[in-house]
Amino acid sequence: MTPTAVNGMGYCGPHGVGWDAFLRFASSAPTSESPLAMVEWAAPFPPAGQARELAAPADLRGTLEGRGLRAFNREGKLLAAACQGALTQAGNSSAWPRDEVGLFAGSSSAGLDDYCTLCAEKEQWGVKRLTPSRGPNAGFNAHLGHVSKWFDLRGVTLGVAAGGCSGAAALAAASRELQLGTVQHAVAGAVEARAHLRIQSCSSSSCVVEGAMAFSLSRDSESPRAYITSCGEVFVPDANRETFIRAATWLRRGFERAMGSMPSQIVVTGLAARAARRNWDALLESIGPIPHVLDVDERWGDWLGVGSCLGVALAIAHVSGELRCPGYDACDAVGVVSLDEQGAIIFHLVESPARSGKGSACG
Amino acid sequence: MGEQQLCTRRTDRAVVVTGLGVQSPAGCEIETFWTNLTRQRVATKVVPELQLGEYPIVAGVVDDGFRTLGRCQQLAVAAARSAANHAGLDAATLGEQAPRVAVVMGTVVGGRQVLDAHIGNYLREPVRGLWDATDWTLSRAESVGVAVARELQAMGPNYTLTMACAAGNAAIGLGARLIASGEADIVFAGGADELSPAFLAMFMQHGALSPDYIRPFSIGRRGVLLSEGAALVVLESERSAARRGRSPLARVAGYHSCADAYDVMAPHPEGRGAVVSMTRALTRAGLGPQAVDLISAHGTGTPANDKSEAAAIQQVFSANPNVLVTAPKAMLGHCQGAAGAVETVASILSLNRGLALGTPNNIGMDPEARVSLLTENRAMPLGVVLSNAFGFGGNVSSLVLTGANA
Repeated sequence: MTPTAVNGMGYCGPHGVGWDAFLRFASSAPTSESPLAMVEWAAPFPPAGQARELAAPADLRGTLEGRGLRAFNREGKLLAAACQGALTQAGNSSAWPRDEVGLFAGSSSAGLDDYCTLCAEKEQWGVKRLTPSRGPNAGFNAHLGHVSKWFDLRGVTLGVAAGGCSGAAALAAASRELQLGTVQHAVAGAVEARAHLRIQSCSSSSCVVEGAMAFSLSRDSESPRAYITSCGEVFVPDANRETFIRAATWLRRGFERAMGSMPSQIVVTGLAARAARRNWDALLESIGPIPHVLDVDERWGDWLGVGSCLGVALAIAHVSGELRCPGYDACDAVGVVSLDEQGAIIFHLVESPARSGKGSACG
Repeated sequence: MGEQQLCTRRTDRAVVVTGLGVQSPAGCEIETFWTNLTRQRVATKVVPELQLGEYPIVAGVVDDGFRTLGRCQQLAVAAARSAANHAGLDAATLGEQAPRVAVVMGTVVGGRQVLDAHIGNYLREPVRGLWDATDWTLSRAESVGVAVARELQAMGPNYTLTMACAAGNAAIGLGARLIASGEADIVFAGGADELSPAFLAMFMQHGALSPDYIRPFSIGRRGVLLSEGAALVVLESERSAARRGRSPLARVAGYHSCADAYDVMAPHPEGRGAVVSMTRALTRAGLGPQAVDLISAHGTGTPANDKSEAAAIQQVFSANPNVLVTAPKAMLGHCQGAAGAVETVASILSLNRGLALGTPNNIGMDPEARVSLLTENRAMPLGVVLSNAFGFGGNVSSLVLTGANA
């Protein structure tokens, strides 16, 4: 596999917008100790259960300059703010031919609150008085439309849902298209917005977080921050131990093909909650001893599809020396394993440019 | 797991179709589906339980006698079973190859239709406990791909694409990518969607629903009729199919999806995205416009779509201006995220059986949407079919299908 160059990253979440906000987020205390304010829910729906909730900045007009922002749904605004950060960090992205810039966005619950509100408006007001923008924003893909138009991204476009692995799946898809040469550049990431149903489905001990993360990627780059040198995906269709062992074998071999052994440092997303629900611990036992595991969800709350992107961003920040992951040694390669309760597992291997220069992965 | 490469991506593997499965208003079995299409049967009808108080809702409904939780997922699973049977893939074979079997599905609504009733009930009688865990699971898009993978015990990559009405077409394209890149040997790819009263209301509010028929590219066309369904194709590497002794039904020769980047609600007037998706899909297939025998158009019968798509076809096919066009939605209704997959199944059957399907309901060509629309079936040798699917949000997708022996 040809390494995918990561040129830039953008973040929009509870600690604000931009790379500095991400570093503040990544350096922050576990979410369970967070002083950030909880969010109130308005009518027509009932109070949203007992789960704690962390929201991204409500007003993004200072971040996103231009006409048309009012038509965006929440996911569109969050993702646009993250994409803007990623494209800005990439440097000369405005010069990229727009037909050659792809957009790959993961989300598991996009448009959910708009859909519920659409249903409520239909019941309360009838068809003729529906808010005109409500319907289009209630789809799973409205954020793709908004963001592609805002940045004039006209290359390969893919919206993908894979639960907690949605962002990781978008990154994997972007890497594939870059490698196949169907685009020269890509913006890939994930977004999840607050949604009543999402809060209600969580336990009182949960902390539900909204936000977006985006990466600008290129086939080639003069000075990338890092490379994604390998990625792969597997699904666990049942809870049998044998199936988990098969999946673990796949995961281990994937890493071994990429770097000769399991990475000594692994960022795991979706582990804490999923381990309790679907025996993911059996998977990790089958992989074998891993010196350092950083559990994103356990530390920073349930970001749903965005969590897997945060894992990759943490790995990139770590190998580039911008941030030392808690408990980690300095190193130039970190594995990222993203898990989802419904069965998806996606891994990425993130390497520093120095390490990647010796060639890698599956190629 | 065998010793196959786990993450090596190659780009030289031919992708063939070895199985088809469909759940559609025109039939839930391949031969019934094909027979009804060849008889030009319009499968849309008035659906009393979906009335929204404006005028009778005409829609295409899969007539299987159940409307329960997870209808979308049930449609997907039923079509997946049919496709596996059609491809001669039994549970033992799939189990042996499980890590190399991928699932890629597309959807617009997923299982969100279940929320409509809950919200209506709540607003009439507010009580706590509006949702339960099932609602949360079904309302997430990936529930469609997950349901299919669990049914097939597939352990390869699992995606559900959220690309509006282009999703089914794009899912087959992405499935082909997974084969071509060496990440999977067998892919179940397609789309599924159920009717959603909320989305019907949205289409009604925007004046996009026809009161009677879909009339693609016709004068007097007044809009689309939503329908529901599911369709999957089984994609394999040529080597995998040969190893199993299966004769391919067709080949997926090219694919491209991209964005109009114009308007979330409306297509670009000149079909900017459609031009790129058709052109690049053909380039990927190594074919020029002259090679195409038939275009299966997105053809929703809305004034804006048909005008835009016709403009794009005229631009891309300026060297082949008489290329034939068919628009299956006139018979099937618009199956939303399943539409691209259902229409791809129809295209593969057309290729396989040498019959280009006519488009009923046409009462005269719109001079602003001029294409060579087939209004009657035509028996003819077909070598290359291009299938389009577009969606809200500006997603566009095109597939190039060729005959099995191309």
